Amino acid sequence: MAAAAPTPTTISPETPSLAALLPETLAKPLSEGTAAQPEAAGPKKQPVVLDVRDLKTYFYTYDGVVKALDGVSFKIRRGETVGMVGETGCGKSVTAFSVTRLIADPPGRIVGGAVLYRGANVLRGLEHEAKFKPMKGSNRVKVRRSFRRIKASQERMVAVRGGGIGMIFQEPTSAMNPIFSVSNQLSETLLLHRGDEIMDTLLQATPNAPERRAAFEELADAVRSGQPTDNVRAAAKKVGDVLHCPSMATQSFYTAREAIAAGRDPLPLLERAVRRLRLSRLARSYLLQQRRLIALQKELNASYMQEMRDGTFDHSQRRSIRRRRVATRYRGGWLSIRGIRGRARKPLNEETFWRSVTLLEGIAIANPVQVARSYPHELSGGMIQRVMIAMALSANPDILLADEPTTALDVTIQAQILELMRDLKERVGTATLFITHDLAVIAEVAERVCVMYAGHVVETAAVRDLFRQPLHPYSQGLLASIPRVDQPEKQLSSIKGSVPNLITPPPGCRFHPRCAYAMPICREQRPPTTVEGTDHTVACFLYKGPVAVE
Amino acid sequence: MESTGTTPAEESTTTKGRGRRPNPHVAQFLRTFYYLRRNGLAMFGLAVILILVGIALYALTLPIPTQSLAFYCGTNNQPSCVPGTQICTYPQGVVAPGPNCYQTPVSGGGVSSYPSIIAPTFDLAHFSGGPLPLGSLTVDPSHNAFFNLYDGLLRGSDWSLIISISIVLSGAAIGAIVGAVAGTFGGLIDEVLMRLVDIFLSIPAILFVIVIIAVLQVLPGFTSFDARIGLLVIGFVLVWWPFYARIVRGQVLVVREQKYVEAARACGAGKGRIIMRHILPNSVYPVFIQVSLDVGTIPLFVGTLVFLGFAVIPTTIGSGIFPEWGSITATSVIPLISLLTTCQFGQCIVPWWQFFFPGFALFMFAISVNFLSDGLRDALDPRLRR
Amino acid sequence: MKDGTSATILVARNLRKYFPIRGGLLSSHLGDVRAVDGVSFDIREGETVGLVGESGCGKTTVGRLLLRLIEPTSGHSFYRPPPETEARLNTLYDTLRPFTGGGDGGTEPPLTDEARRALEEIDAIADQYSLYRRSQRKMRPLRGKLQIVFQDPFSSLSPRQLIRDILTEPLAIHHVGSRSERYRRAEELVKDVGLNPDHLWRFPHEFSGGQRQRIGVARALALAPEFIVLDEPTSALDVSVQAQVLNLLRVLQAERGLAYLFISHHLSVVRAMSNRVLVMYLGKVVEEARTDELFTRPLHPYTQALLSAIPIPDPELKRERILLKGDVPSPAAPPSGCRFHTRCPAVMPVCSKVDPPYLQVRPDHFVACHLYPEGIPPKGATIPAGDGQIASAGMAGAEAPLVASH
Repeated sequence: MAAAAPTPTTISPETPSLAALLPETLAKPLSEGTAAQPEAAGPKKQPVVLDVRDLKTYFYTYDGVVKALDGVSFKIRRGETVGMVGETGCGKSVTAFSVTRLIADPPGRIVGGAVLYRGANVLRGLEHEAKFKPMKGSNRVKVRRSFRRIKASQERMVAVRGGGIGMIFQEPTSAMNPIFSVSNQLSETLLLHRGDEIMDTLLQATPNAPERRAAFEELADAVRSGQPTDNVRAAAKKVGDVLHCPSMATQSFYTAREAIAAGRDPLPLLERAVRRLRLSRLARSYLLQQRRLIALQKELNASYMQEMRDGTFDHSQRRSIRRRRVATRYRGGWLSIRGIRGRARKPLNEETFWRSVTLLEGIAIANPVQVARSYPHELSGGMIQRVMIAMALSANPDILLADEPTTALDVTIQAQILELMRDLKERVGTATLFITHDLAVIAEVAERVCVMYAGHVVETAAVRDLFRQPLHPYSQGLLASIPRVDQPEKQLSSIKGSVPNLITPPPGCRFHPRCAYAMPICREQRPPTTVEGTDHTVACFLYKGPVAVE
Repeated sequence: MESTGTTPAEESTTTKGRGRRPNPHVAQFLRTFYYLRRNGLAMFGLAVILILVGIALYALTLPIPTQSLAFYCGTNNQPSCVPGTQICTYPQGVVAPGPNCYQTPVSGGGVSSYPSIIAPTFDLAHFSGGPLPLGSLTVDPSHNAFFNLYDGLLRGSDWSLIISISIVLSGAAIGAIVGAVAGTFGGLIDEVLMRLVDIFLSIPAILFVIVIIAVLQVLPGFTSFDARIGLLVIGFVLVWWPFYARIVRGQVLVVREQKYVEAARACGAGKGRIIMRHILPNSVYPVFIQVSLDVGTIPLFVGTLVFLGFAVIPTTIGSGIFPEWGSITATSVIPLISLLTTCQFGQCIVPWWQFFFPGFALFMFAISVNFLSDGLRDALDPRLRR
Repeated sequence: MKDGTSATILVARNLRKYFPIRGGLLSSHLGDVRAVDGVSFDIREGETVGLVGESGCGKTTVGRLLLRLIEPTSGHSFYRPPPETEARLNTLYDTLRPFTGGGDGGTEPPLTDEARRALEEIDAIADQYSLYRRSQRKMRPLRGKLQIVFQDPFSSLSPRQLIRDILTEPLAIHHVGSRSERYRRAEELVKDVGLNPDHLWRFPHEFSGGQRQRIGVARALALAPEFIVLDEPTSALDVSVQAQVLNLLRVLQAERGLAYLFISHHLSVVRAMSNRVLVMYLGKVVEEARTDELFTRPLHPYTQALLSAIPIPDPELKRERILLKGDVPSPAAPPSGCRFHTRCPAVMPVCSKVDPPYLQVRPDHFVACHLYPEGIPPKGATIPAGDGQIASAGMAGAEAPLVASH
């Protein structure tokens, strides 16, 4: 029964590393394919990274067709945090999974809409993937799927998931694979999405640089003389610079500290640490091979993105990529499959281990080496969630989908995680879609909010506007039913009725059976989304503003 | 992943008719059946089982024929018979002239209480009033007992089904109760019962059955045929129940921690009530799987016993063999060994049909039960419901 | 202030529950998980006592101990002692107070004769009134009076039983009425919680979470209880459904004079529902007060951190967050001295050595913290914090409910 090691949660000013690991986040060019905005881009308006238009996802079950999402639209701009709020069954998690096409295919099916990520429609080719035939005499619909096309579109998603759209999930304790260590899983992500950087670093590191001795001694002095951590880190960074390998900075930092704490001379240990950078011929050729494969994968991804953008792709190019991939993989025959991997893997593994330690430093974990070596069951939920966030961000995505990340955690741990996410947002600037049912958390974290009810987006607004002036009756009801610690006399009013059955949803506006202001038209037509103020849209017949333009 | 699969019940339900509600258990059953229908293999299994059950029921209605015997000889044969194509009749009681001679029935009175097996023949002239196709002889000269393969298959279905099902169900029932008690009470009772289970499991099954039957058969009361079959069942049940005990105990350990069990305790329910009403019904789930596997395995075990020469039914009662698929298969295989040594190549008819058809029937039985229970398990698992 | 007219249903004193850890080759006793380590409080008729704390603090175990769903390692829980006995008990425990060892490593002083006599007398009273001394048969009639509603609406109802059977089961266990009478009672119960009698004929999985929770409440009401332990009843529910269930609970309490132990980690909900609140950390109660008092003037640093961690649904409210260091330590190896000292922003040297005693620091406000060695702290006390984070507790006379600043 291992106790989780105590960790500081205040983001100490000395953690530089996450940003250092993600150097080009903000420099990623968004010019390609960003949809031209009809609304005049204000002085501070960032380009749109994710544009969801009229997303429809249905689940075909024994009882009928569950219309989980029935025309959901929203936009996320670069760097902004959009909150998605709603109760259980309103479809917020389904939205997140639909964006990355992770819906379980039987029985679910995305049936319509477009999800534009940097101009590429993730849902391209949707219409051809399945045919529907309603069955007489019951609510059911028979679905005939073309698995070939579905498989092809899933393959295309490789270009988007992880590196483009990252995701963190609700249950941290079951989100990590229990048989692999934390560093192993972090390394997996790092290799997948930043493999080229890693290979390049390894290939051009200079383990034999003569200046390293001096740098080692400086580091050892800094630790021995008990200098503040900042200085020690600076010395370690110098080591890394000399060796042209940033992960060596981390490794030397911890190695030196450990050595001196144990009373031994750090220099030989540091020398030994550098040995991992001296690559054998075999290792070098393996790394080159992997580098080539990664480059090929990038080409393939670019081709996928292009296909998702215009629907066309160059057959011959794809074929050539695949051919080259096979050639690269099996180059050298048998050796390339077996012999190289064993011995050559070691430098790669060590490099990714230290990079994962650096990553863990970036999320302010006190003893990252220990945590990196441990297994998920040895860590607490809050810690695992932090690791998941680091993992998701290490892939350098444009958007992070956070599906109820703090719901399963205690309130103080939740505070820590929210603090962490806020800090990371400032440093790294990833756009986030924060899904939760807790309006209070939204108030803390989000800049804009989408309120969902039964598969429809009923209101979107800036967070202040929503709380100050909720327009939709459902939002009003929701706000009125939250108990507030600072307003104890507040009466908890509840919305009468219950969430509708999505197989036979109410016609027209799905909220009308529970709405205090229901009018006859609400029963007949679905209300259009109208604009009621700067950036405040609502879908309700009570409001007669101009219809929002997609 | 959230998929709004649970349909929240509406506030005002449509009750069909006054006071007549659709029986919820029936509705559950129909729903399960729907899920089952979507599983092709399970439907196939169900179909096969239904056919087999039908055959078994039909077989129950068959009278036990009595016929006298004649010989049909293959290539090395008596000179007075044309080899391979004729039925030669010999007086009853005569030992078969050669290794490839098989006794066949002729219509008329006889003393054997079991039907005999007829040699296969492609000469349809022999069908009239006599042998049926796909017949074969299993010779057991020492006992003068034979099986008509066709009848053997029919009656075998009867015996196989009855024996397997009774063994498996009794074993499952005993094992389930033992497992549930061990799991619920824990502590010393759990330890003792589990050690008992371990003891039983450590004894090799076949040996154990043989020993039990050999020992118990001397007791009075085990002289009739049915009693012997009962003894066989008892022997097997004693071997089989520990597997179920273990499975059920494992599941009970899980169910025991569920909140509804705690809620029942909070209401003051006694241990007995909790076991019978809450724990057991929710723990029998994995038993299904094991039951399906075992139902197919048991006849093979019986066959193994017979193959080893263990006389399930000794000669003092009836005729040493009884028509059960496993034992027919085993009995048919025994002569093959001698055939291999005494026959020269090309001169022997290897009676493949003797073991193939009963074995195939057994195979179909085992597999279809397997498919069906697989499908049932998937259909009943709430997580897989779609 | 104790209301003289409402009787006390349960008097719990020094409840402890240790779960043994076994390990090694011979399953030797390695240690104990101290889930509950000396918890005492009273439950009076008609009041709602809130019990808050994070996961692993033992609040769920306390609930189960009160209902005798698990047996305590030590401690007593007296059921409806008459007022004189209760007063006597309080006196006896007071005399014993200097003898209960404080802090680990501190030796308990040897018992004086007076202390021994006090213990014997407590023992005698326990024989008569203690919940844990009753035989199982005698417990049965009490089971109906002390009920529980569970957190998880999905696993608290047996999936193979019809709702009708779930609701009639308590009645059947106690042989109440004939079968048709029980069915009728089930119908009444279902209507009491706001569901349709048609729902009796369905299986639990056909209902939503909120409805299942109502069914759980209906089951708890079946035997006309006087005290219900609500173990995180709304944590698995959405906000609007939560409001419905909480309103239902309030209505039922008003109608039937029920007492509740409301266990939750959602402080906003606890504030809305409770009269008194106890805050637990790692098996011990660290603070207890009336609700308003606790939320406006939290004394213990843990309570303050907890309150500051609650997200408030108001985007314009900025406040200083007290962030605690690290994670909750394991209850198997609790820190020495004050269990909170490893994370406390106001830790002092004495905290790691001695367990702070549980003292009444203000009228009806109890705290176990070395910051309040005795008496009432001056108003507006500022707690010095490590790491340069300042938290102000109890702004002098201010009505600001929390550490808040616009």
